[in-house]
Amino acid sequence: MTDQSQIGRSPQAAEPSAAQDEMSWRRYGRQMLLPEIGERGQQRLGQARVLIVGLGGLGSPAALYLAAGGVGQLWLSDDDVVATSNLQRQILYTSAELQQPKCNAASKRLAQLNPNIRCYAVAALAESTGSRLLKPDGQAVDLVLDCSDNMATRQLLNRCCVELQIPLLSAAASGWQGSLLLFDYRPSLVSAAEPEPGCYHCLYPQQEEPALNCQNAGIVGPVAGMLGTLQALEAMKFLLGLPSSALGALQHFDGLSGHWRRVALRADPLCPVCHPPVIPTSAPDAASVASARMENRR
Amino acid sequence: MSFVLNGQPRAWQPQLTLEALLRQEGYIGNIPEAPQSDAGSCTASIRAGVAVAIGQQVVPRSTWAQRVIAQQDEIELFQAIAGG
Repeated sequence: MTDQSQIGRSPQAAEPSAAQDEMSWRRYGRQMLLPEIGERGQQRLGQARVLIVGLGGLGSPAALYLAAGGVGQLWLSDDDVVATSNLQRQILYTSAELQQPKCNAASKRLAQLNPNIRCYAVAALAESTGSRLLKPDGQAVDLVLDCSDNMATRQLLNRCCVELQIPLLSAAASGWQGSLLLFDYRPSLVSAAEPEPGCYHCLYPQQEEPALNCQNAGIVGPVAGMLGTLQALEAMKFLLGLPSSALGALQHFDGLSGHWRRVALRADPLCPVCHPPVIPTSAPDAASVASARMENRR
Repeated sequence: MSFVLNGQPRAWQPQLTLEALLRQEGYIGNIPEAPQSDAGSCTASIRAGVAVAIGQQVVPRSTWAQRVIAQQDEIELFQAIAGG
């Protein structure tokens, strides 16, 4: 459906050695057996670079599955520390890691799970760090996972992805509800999509925090887990160049009834973020992101 | 004569716009109105982030005031979720 040939194929990437092949089959053989993956797909995953913003209820399963599946580079952004109330759903952490920075605890856990990938802790997202996070070593990541817990971060991350033309896979969870969205902001695909799906801001232009969040509405652990797991699944499909049902659609899950709803996205012709592509006037600044994060902490 | 809002039948009224319906339902206007000087600020009066789809397609925010609800329209509201 979409040409994703540029992902996971950096020009300097060397052919894997026989020893690497053997390691790959031992570790990833169960997924390499699938015709959509195979040796070539596994190599693509191994060369892929993914930024995960937020290492909570969504980011935990997303990072665990991507690390386990051999996604080569994971860049991890979260400035929070592990709290007791996180452990009900944030399965990256244990009771032994209370008060530790999530980035550090997560990097350690993921390295234990799979020493063959690289995990890097990066700064928290803010107005001043946005482009550095998305191009952590000067080169853009292939995909950004929004696993954050507040609207200000979501809007800022969306704006950064639109500006730098990097695909954004966004999940959210609160109460019994969850949602999943994939936006492919690479220029060739933005113009090719018909009808145009727009950006996150087209769908939710409000900058205010929703009335309900994990802190006041609660959150059911497996609902966050499900959406984070789906993020990992759709990320792997995206990195493999497989079509995604999350592209150009809002998928909404109600964990209480078990019902999914799916509607097609439409660009807002007056969206200040993506129409025209670069007018960063109404997005939240670093201070509002920081204050929203403080409010969301316990 | 009716339309459907979140699975529930509603009495249809001629010339009812999506904007007016959402105002009736309390999704718009419960916080002070922002000056409507540009495209970005017209969204500031939405009480809580909500997206709207008619017939399984999202209706962009800037077109709610023009979108007249037709009989048999199936309207779904999606409250923004930001947690994680």
